[in-house]
Amino acid sequence: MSDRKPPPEPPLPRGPEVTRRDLLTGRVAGLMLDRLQGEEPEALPAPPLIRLTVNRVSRELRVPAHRTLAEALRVNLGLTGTKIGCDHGECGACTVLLDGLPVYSCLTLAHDADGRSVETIEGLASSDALHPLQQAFLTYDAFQCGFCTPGMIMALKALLDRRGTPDAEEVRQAVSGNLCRCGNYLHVIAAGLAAARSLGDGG
Amino acid sequence: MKAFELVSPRSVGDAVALLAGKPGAGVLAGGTDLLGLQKDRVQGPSLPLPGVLVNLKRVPALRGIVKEGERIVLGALTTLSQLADDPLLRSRFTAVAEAAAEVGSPQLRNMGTLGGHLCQRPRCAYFRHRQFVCLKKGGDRCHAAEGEHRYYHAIFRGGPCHMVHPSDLAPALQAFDATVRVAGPPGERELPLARFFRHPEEDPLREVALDPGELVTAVLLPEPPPGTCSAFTKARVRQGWQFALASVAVAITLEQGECRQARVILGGVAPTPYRAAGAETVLEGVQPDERVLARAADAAVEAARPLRDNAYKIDLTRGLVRQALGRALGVPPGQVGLAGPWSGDV
Amino acid sequence: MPRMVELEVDGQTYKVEPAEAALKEAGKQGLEPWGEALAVVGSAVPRRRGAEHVTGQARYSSDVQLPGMLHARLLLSPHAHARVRRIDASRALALPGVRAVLTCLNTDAAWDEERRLFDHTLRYAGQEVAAVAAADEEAAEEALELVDVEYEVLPAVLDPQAALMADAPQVRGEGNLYGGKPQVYRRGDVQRGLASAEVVHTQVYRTSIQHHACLEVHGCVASWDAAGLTVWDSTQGVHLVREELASRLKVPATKVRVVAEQTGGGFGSKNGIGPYHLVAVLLARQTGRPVRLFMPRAQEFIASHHRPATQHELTGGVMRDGRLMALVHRIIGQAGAYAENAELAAGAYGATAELYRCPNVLMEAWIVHTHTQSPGACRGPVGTEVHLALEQFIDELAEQLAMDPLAFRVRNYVRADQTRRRPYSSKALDRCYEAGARGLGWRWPQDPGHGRVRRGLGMSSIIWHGVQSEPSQAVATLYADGSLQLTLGLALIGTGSETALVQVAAEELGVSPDQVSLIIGDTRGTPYSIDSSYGSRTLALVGPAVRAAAAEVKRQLLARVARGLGAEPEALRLEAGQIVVRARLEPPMSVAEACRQFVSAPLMATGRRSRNPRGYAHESFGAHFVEVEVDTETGAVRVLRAICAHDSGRIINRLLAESQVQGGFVQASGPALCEEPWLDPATGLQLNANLHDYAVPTALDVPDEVQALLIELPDLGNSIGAKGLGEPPHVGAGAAIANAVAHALGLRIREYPLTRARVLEALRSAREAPGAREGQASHEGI
Repeated sequence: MSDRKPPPEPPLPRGPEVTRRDLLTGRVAGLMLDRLQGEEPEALPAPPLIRLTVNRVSRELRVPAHRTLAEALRVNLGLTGTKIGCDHGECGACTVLLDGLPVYSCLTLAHDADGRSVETIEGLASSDALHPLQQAFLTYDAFQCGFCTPGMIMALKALLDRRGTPDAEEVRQAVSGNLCRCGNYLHVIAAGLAAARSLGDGG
Repeated sequence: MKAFELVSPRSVGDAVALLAGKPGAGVLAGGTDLLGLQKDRVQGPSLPLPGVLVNLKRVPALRGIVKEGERIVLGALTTLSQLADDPLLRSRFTAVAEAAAEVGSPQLRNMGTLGGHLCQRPRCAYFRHRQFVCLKKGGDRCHAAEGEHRYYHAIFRGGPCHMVHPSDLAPALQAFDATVRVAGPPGERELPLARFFRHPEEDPLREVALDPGELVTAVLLPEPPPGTCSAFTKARVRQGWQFALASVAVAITLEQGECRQARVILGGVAPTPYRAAGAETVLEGVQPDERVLARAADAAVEAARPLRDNAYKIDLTRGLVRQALGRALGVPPGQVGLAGPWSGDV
Repeated sequence: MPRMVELEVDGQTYKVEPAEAALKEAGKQGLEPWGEALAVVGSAVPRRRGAEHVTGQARYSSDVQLPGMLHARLLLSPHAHARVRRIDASRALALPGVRAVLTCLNTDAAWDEERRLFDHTLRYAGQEVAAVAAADEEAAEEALELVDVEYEVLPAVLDPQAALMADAPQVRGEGNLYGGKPQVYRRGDVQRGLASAEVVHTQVYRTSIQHHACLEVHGCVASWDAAGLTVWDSTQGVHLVREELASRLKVPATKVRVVAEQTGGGFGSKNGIGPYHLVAVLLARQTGRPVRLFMPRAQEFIASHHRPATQHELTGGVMRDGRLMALVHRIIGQAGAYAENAELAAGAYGATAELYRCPNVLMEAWIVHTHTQSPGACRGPVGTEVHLALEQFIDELAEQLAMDPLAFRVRNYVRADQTRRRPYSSKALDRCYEAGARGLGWRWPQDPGHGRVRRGLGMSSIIWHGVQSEPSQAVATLYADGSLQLTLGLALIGTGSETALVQVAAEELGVSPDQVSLIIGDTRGTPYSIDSSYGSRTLALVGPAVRAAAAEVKRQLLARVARGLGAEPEALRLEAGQIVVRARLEPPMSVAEACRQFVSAPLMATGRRSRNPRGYAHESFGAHFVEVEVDTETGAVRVLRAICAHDSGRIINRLLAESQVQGGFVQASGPALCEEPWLDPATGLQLNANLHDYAVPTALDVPDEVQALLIELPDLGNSIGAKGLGEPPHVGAGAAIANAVAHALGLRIREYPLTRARVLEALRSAREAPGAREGQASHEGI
C-alpha cells in the first residue's frame, strides 16, 4: 500500500525545540505545553518523580497521584495510540502491557507504574517491519473504526508472548476484555490466529 | 477523578499504622473498584470520598500462595489471574480457581486482587449513581426496592437494602470453609468468611466486618476432606465480563459414592454469600443422582422472596445449582444445560 | 425529456429510462457500464490507512492537543422536568484554573427554534444546565461540583402511553402527539382486505432503546484564530458540521474549518452538531483559547441520542394458500421533549409497506412527546424497529397457516415497489433467500429437541432504502509520476468506503490502488462529496463522482498521449492498465509510463455524480438466517451460526463488505439479546450509563460463524453498480434471532432484548398457564 506510513520510531524524550508542526500535530508532550504556556505550574507543589520504562525507553515523569497511566501516556508522553473509551475499565481501549501483562491503563495509577515496564501500541513495530499481529490485523481487516485496535493488539500480544500457538478459544478469551462496537470480533480472532501461525513459522 | 494523596507503605504494620492515623482513608489494592468509585464520586452523608489512599501494592508480604501447616494461605494482594492459574487451586479447590477465572475480564483479573475483590462495593446502580442518596450512603431508603431491580438485587434476605454481594470468589471460598485473616491496630485476627460479610440489617453502610484501621491480609483454606469435588457456575446478562446475576459454588465430599458433606453457596442473590442449607441437607447422606440434584436445586431456592421484577432469578439459580452439582460430580456435559457457553461448563 | 421505455414487471407495465442514458450524461464523455472482468473492483484491497490504526498513529479528534488548550465539562439536568430557580457559578469561577462558566444567566445563544443552549426550563434528564472550561480536566470536573443550582422540580411524563392520556403533563404545550395526529400511509382498503381474509391475526411487539455506544465518545476541540474557527470533531461528516456551525454562528462557511482525520464509531450518532459543539465553540471564543470538550462516558449516552423504544401492533389478514390480503401496522414511538429528531421516533413507511405483495396496507406512526432525550439516527433508524416487529409477525402469520415461514415469504414476493409504483433498479432478494437457506441448511418443520437445550432456526428479510439522485463531487489529480490523488469531502468512519473509492478510481484509470492516495477528513481543500456519511449511501453516492473524476483524468491523459504519438484520441484505449493504440505497432504503455512521457503539469478533474435513471425505485435487500441454542434452565440464548445474504449491488471490496456484514449482525445482536438501558421508573434517569451494565456484545457473545453471502447483481441506478451495505445487516439481524428463539422454545417473547430474565419469565408463564401439560417437571423445561 502506497500510503502506509513507516513504522514509528521508538519514542524518545524530546528536546526543547518545538516546531510549529509539532504543535499542529499535537504530538508535543503535555508537560512541555505547560511550560510553553506558563500554565500556572508554579501554583502547584511539584508532584513526586516517577521512573518507568515505556517501550524499552526509560522515562521520567512528574504527575499527581491521581493521574492514571492512560492519561500520563497520552497527555504527558504524547503517546495517543493508547485510547480512552470509557475511563472506567469497561471497554479495553486503554489496554497496555504492564510488566508483560495486559491491564487497563485507565484504572492504573501512573504512580503504580513507577519502576515498571510499560508496552504500548507505539512500541510494537520494529524499525523496519510491522509486528505479525499488526500485519494480520491489516490482512484480515480486523477493525473498522480502529478505536479498539491498539487495545486489542496489546491484549493479543500478551497472549502470543505467553502461548505460542493458542487455539481460537484462547484467542477469543484473550480479547474478551476489549469491546469492538463495530463488531469485527471474528476478524480479530482470525487475525490473532494468523499472527500466532506466522510467529510460529519464525515470521 | 477526585484528587487524593497516595501513600505507599512497605509493610503490613506500616499500612495499619497509616490507616489508623488517617481516618477515612481508602485502601488501594488493584484499584479496579476503588478508582471507579473515586472517578464517579460515589459519596453521601455517611460515605465521604477518601482524600488519602493507602496503597498496598508495595507490600510484598501480601502476595502469593503458600502452605501454612494444614492450610493454604492466599495473600490478599494475589491477583485473580494468579488464583485462576494456580495448579493447586485448580486441582484441589476447583471452584475457587473457576470462580477467579469468571471474574471480570483478563485485564481486570491481572489487576484485581483477592482482598480487593472481597471488599468491593455493591453494583447496585442506585448506590453508584450520584443522584440517589441510598441507605448505603446515609440516605433513608433503598431506591431499588420499588425501582429498577432486575439484575443486581436480592431474592434472598433482602432489606432494608436489597443489594447483592457481587463477589464470585466469596461463594467458592465459603464452600471450602475459608477463613479471613485481618490485620488491625490491635494485631491480627481471623474470622470465618461466612462471618466476614455483614448483612445490611446489621449495618447498611458496610458489607464487611472490618473495623476502622483494619485490612484483609489473607484468606486461608483448610485442606478439603479426601473425595471432595467442586465447581462454580455463573450467569450474566451477556456471556462474559460482567457481574453475576446469580452464581453457585458447590463442594461435594463423596465417600463410596455417597455424599458425606455438601456445601452449596449462592452468589449474586443475597446481600451476602448465601448458604443454601436446604440443598445441602438433600444431598448429604445419599448417592447423588439426577433426581437428587433436581431436588437439591429446588431446595436451594425454597426460601427465595423475590422483588417485583427479579423472580426469574429463582429459576436461574435453580438451574445453576443443578448444573454446578452436575459439573462437580462429573455428569457428562451433554446432560447439563448451558450456563454460559464460554464458562467451561458445556 | 429523457427517452423512456416500457418495462413489464409482474404483469404491470412501467415507464423507465434506460440506465445507459443516465450513464451517457456522466462525465464529459459519458461512461460505459463496467464489464464483468474488473481488475481492482471486487478484490480484497486492505483497508486504506489501516497501518495508522495498527501502529497507534491514527489520529482521532479526541487525540488532538493544542497549546493553551482548555478542557470543558457539561453540567446536565438530573431531572426530567424542572425549572432553574437559581444558579450560582461564583464558587466554580473562583476555583484555580477555571476560565469560564456558561449558564442560562450569561449565555443567551439559541440551540434551535424551540430552546436556548442553556434554558431555564429543562425537559429531559440530561439537558444542558451549565458548562465550564478550565486548565485541565480535573479542575473542570471539580468546578462542576461547585456550580450551585436550585431546581424547581415539575411533573414529568416519561412513558408514551401515559403521555397520550388527557390529564398527562404537557411536554411542549400543544398536546403530546407530535403534529397533532399520527402519520399515515394507506394503500387499498384494509377493512375490505381483512374481511376477505380467511385468517386474521393480531400481535403486539415492543422494542427497547438502543445506544450507539461508540468507543470514541462524542466531542470536539474548537479553536478560533484570525482565519476563523477550526473544529476537530469526532464526526461522520465534516461538511455537514461546517454547514451547521456556520449557520448557527451566523458566520460564512468559509470561516469554518472542520477536521476529522479518524472517527471512532458513529453509527448514525455523529451527523451534524449537538449542543456540545456550540458550547465548545462559545467557550473557545470567550476564553481566546482552544477548548476541548469530550463527553465522559456517562454523558455519552445523552450526547449520542438513541434508537427509541417502540411499540407495534400488527394485524394481518391471509388466505389459506398463503396470500397476504391486508396489513395494519400501528407504531408508537417516543419522540422525547423537543421536535428535534421527532421523525426518527417512528414512521409510516418502509418494510411493512414494501416488502411483501399486499394490496391493502395501513401504517400509522404515533409519535409521542415525553420528558426524555429525543431519539437520534441509529444504524437503520426506524427500519430496524419495523423489521423487528414485522418480520416476527410474518413468521407468526405463517405459523397461523402452518406454513414454512420462508415459503410464506416467497409466496408473497414482489418485484416492484408498491408504494411508488416503480420497478426496482435491482432486486435479488429471491437469490438471497435461496443462498441463505442453502447456507444455513434451512428446514421446516424444525425439531428443537426435547432436552434442556433447544435449537432453533430463524430467518428475516431485509429492505433498506437506497440512494436517490443526489449531487456529489470528487477531485482527482494525476501527477507526472503516475500517482493519483483523490480529494474527498468525507470523514473516515470505519466503513471502508474510502478504500472502495480508491478502488473505483484505480479501476477506471487502470492503475494499481497502491498508486492512489487520499486527501480526506477535512473541509479545507476538499470538494463537497457528501454532507455526512449516513443512510448507507456514501459509496453509491460518491463512487460515481469518483469514477467520473477518474474517467475525465483518463480522457485528458489519453488526449495527451494521442497528441504525443500523433494518433487520433479515438484510436487509444486503456485496457487492463495498458494504453493501446489501435492499428499501430507501438507497444502497450502503462499509465505511469504514459504520465512520465506525456504529462508535465498534473492533470486534474472534478467528477460529478450523474443522476439516477428515471422511473426506478432504489433499495438494498437481504435475508438473514440464524441458528440459536437456548438453555431452558438458565435462559441463556446463544447464536451458533448466522448466514447473512445481501443484495447490495456490485461489491467493490469483498473483505471490507464482509466486515460490514459481520459487524452489523454482531451490533444488532446486542439489542436483540442483552443490550438495554436501565431506567429508573420514578425519575427516568438511566442507571447503567456505562459500558459494563449497558451490555454491548463482547467477543464471547459472537457466534463462531457469521457468513456474508454477497449476491452480486450490479445495480442500474449508478455508474458503479453499488448499493448500500452499512445498515442492511443491522436491520434484519434482530428479527432473525428472535424468530429462531421462538422456534427453539415453541413460544414467542414479544419484548426485546431476549434476556435470560425474559426467557425464564416466558417459560414460567407457559408452565403455569392453564392447560400447560401435566407431568413436565420444572427441571424438564417447558
